[in-house]
Amino acid sequence: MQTFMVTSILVSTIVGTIVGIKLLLLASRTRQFPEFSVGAALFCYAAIAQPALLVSASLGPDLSHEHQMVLLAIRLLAYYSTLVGLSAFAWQVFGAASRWRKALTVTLALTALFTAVLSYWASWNQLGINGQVPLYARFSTSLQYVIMFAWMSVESLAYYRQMRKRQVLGLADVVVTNRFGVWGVSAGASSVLVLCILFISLTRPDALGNDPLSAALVSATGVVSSVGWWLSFMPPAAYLRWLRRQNASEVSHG
Amino acid sequence: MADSEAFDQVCELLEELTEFSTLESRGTVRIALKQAGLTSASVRPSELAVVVKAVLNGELDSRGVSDADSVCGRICESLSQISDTPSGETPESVFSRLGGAD
Repeated sequence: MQTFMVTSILVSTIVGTIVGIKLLLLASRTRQFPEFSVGAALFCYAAIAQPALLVSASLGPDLSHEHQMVLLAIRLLAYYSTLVGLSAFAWQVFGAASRWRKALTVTLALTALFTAVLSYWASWNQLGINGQVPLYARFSTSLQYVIMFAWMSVESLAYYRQMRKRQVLGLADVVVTNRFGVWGVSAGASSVLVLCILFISLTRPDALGNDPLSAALVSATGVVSSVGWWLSFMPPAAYLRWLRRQNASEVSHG
Repeated sequence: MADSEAFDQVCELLEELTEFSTLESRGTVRIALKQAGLTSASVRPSELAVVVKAVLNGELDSRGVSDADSVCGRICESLSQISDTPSGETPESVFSRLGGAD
């Protein structure tokens, strides 16, 4: 199970880094905020936070306190950037003029910043175990991710429903419609999985990553996210052909 | 959020061509838009023309408008006079861009 967990982290690292770079390159051409925020979020998570987690987990006991603190700072900064990037993406895409979306984004950003600083301070003072993020800080960070993913999922799936109706009248493209669905489902699944991990970390903190159930949950989160990013933003040609065939068959059957 | 020019124009014309009140005509067009997954704020004239033919026609029939076909024809004619410029950034345009060339 540990091998599966490491493999899933490696897969999400590779997929997220490639998709993140692709979106950042797109942002450099279009100069638009949505592609920059989601691209930067995926890149920070996949290319920075995940490798730092792997290094920290594999070399943990051999590292000095200072080195552990450097790795923790990198991870916290990357997780924070990911959360803020994805929240800003949801806000700007689904209603830039909306006050509640702005308030939710700002609240998530501020509470996440507070949590990150608190985690670092507690770890610096060795209040956690072996440089790990203390339990109360982990609870807060996970909860922010649960809320952000759930919000993203609800918005994407609501828009997906609208797009399906448009598609029936020939007013929406099947690939773009599917993109909302895939993104919404993967965000929803991520929210549920992070919630499960949060539950385990609260009830059985020592089991996290060490027993089959929690390792499976962590692995599933990585796999679900990777599939979501890949099919949403770098869909393979075969998948697009399959979508168009499905759509043509739906249309011909009325 | 303000309603689009196309939406306002369709509602005014519907009120003129039928015995609907302002509230009834706006409500009927909103129902048709909702069935099509569109909103009054961002709908474009070309999209509204499709909705008028495919959805509003049936809505008018069910509300006892006897010459629904000719009313919808007149509305589509008037919609063709409005320029069909995109209504700014929408979730659809962003998600379309993010997937690259499909």
